[in-house]
Amino acid sequence: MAVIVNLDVMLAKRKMSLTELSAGVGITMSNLSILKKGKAKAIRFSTLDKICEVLDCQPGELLEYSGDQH
Amino acid sequence: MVIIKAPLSIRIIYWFSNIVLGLITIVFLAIIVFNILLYTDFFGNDMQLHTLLPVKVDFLEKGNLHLNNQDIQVELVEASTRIHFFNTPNFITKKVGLALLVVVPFGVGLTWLFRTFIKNVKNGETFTVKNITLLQKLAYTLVGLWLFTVIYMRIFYYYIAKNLEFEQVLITDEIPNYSGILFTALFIWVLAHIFIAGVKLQEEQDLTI
Repeated sequence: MAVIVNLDVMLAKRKMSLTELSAGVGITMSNLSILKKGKAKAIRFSTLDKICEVLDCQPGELLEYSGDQH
Repeated sequence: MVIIKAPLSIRIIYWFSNIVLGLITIVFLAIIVFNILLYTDFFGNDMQLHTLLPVKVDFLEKGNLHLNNQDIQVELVEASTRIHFFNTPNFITKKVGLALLVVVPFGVGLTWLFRTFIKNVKNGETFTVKNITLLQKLAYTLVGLWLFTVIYMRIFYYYIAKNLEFEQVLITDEIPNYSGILFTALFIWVLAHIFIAGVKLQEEQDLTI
């Protein structure tokens, strides 16, 4: 996938754990883990909205286009 | 985790398929015993064999149809039938026994595959790779059954039915091709491909956060 999810980077910047994020956005740990590992096929706007709200960031800070497609 | 109970129809089909599988397995075991007895000449030439004729018979029989207080004259012209051997020679019984030994495992296999598929659906595992494999196996087993039936019935026709002689009825030479079995197999095979699309959608759904 050419789009990378920088969730771990944002969590480190905010000094927040995945458990805290999970509780904040109301998404299970396993689903957030799928997102963090880049295994997700798609992300809902509502999910992105909640994560941006909790992490106080822009969608562009979470998602990055790497360019090399597999 | 919320456990969703399977619909009543699925549960009924599952229990029904369990019963059918049990019965057909008993039949299979009985056929194994029957064949052992046949090959040890337990029955000799005394078997009273009833067997289905693969072709229809032509005959003429006048009759009446009672409908709406009217008698309508009709004729019976064609029928599917069975033949009864008086004291079947052992070599014929052995061939029929062998055919049963081949055809019944197809029945056991088909029922087992269908039961496993329904069990998966009952447990909420509908769009899975496991189910696609089961559906494909069902289709291939049906094709195998169709091939065997067609070959067996043709052998039966040339070996026995063609040489039958009766005074009143005429044995036709229209051997059925049992296309129903083949179309069912084709339908299941297409269904397996629909399930492949279903699995992809399910995977996308599961990996959408």
